[in-house]
Amino acid sequence: MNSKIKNRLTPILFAVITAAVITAAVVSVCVGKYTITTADIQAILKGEQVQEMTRKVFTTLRLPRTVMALIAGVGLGIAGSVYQIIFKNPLASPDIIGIAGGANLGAAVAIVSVSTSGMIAIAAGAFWGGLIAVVCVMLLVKATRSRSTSTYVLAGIVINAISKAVIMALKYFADPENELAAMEYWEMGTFGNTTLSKLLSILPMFLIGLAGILLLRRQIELMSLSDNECRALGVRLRPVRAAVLALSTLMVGSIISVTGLISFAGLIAPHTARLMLRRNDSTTIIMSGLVGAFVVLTADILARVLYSAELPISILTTVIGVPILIYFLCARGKDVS
Amino acid sequence: MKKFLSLALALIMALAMFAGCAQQGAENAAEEPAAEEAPAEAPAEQPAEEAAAATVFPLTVKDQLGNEVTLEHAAERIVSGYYISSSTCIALGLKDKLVATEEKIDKRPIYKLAAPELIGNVGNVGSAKAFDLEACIAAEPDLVILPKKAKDYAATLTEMGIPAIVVNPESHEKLVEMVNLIAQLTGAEEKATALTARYDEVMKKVEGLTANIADADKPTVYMCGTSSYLTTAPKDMYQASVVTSAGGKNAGDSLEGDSWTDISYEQFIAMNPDVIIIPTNNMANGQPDFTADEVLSDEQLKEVTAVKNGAVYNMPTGFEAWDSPVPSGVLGMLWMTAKLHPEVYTMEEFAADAADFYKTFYGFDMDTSSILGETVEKAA
Repeated sequence: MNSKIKNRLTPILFAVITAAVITAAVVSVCVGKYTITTADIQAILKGEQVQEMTRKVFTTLRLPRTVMALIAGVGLGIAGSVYQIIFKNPLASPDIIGIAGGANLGAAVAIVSVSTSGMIAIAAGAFWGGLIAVVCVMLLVKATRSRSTSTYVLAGIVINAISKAVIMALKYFADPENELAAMEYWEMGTFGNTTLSKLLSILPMFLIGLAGILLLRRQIELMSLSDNECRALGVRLRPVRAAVLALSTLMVGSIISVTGLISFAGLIAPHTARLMLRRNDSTTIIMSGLVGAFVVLTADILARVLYSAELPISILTTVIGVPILIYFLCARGKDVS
Repeated sequence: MKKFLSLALALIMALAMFAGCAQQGAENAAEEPAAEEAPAEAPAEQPAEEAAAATVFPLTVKDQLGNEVTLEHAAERIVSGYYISSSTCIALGLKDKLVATEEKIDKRPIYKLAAPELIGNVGNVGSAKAFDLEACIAAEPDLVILPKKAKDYAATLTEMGIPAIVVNPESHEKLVEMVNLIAQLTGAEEKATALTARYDEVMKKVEGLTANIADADKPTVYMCGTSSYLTTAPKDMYQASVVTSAGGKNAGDSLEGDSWTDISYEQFIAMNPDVIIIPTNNMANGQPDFTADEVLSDEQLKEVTAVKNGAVYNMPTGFEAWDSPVPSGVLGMLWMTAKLHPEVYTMEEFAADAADFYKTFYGFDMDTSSILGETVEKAA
């Protein structure tokens, strides 16, 4: 495909995916066990009189949940895309550079050690766990004095492995009825416990991370070139990499501190975006965010309606993400041949 | 470019500082809502009336996590978030007031026996780990009872103006406390008094029965976990206390801890128990994940006294998990006494006592044939 057609197609693709995300968001607001009619929603949005409990459910549970799913998808999609670009590694995702492992460990420590303070402690544990893990990765890279991207990935794997080992130890000594179940469940993720106050508490950090990444998008784009070319073009690799890592950690950490781990979204969204756009630059980053939002929103809708109780989100992000990825892989295959 | 970068870095550094402060803020915030919400929910003029003998509404009580909850009137529409509180509600004669329960009530025998009308007719609020807030609110409850695992949902519900209590019956004392707490909020004190009086009666009876058993006559009892027989009850677990009060020595007393603990074959053989007990699975269908035959045919355990003598017993299935602190948990103590010391208390006596318990508090006639059938089989 030549670049002209490519450029002409891009706005159409963006329009389609944006429409899909908006549709998913609207459906997400309307779906739930508590009956809220579209008339109710219109009335609430217009500020008209509705039943008090309906308003409360809508404003403290339903809408925050939709917004949370939306920003989680955007955040994970963008972070995944950024990692794949700056590490020049198609397997890079929040899991690989240690955020997920660190967050998981932080949450596990909170579950085991702070038995009464609950979700807030778990969220704080996850957030700081993720942040500390990434700091460790950076320190490790610094200690090796190596400048290559593979060092980051390897350091991430090391930190992940350490986190996993500690988590296993914690799980082994955990009380199976309460703590172990809580840890296992946290690893599967859910939007079922999202409330307005939780959303508001993480929103500033998420937005700072997102804004920072978007501001740095040109540098990130350049980093898809080889390290030497980057330097030649005036990108100061170390500080930019550190900044991008810190900002994306802020973004991902704030999301998974509320939802628990959301698997696969951060890996599948960038690949799908790249296969759709046939390129890997800052537009791909945005597209990846939109694809992520669509996958996570749809997954969350299904999590609510498929079964009498809530299903963990990670099951569904995988189930939805995989067919999308396979479709675009096959489409590309055809194209190449 | 440089300028931009330094700006970005400055931003991050500022952020790091902000984050450092925010952590303390967050920690404080974690305490604050609890402190602030309570007075918001409970009008300040309300005197705490926990100690009042006659229940007067509006009533403010502390739940088992110490959070204050205020009810304007005795609860009429109850949502119970897990099996133990649901079973307690049935025992307190509150089944008509249950408007939603935990999931899978059709899989637990007690509902079929004592409250078949609930199955398929009340809301489903999921499980403690995946609690469905919207379904709970949709049931329009005026009291929500949740386990400790779901304490955060309780906070959210309270925030939304729906009274929610957290219960945590991890020991017999806590179970009694929970029964009284639920009774107080629902006006079921009379039933609660009868139920707890029965508990005391049973415990006294078991104490009396086992008082004169010499130490040498107390068998070493190995309590299997529900999912594997290489898991046992350590010293401080509820199940260990059931063994001890029924006149046995808990094999797992050499282990520290208060929850199911994995052991190796070597440890099992070293414990060399005289009796092996397989508890009823508290989950799903009441069946354990393995059978006595599997334990008996395990080559590694051939030399264990209990296996040699065929003294491997399943706790009765088809009712409730009597090995754990459930409202009918005292029956576990009685069953164990009958199993370990039939010379002081026979299985027939136990069957009669158990049937009377369920008739009195759950209102159904218990089919005791499975309990008695087992004894006949063993005797043969």
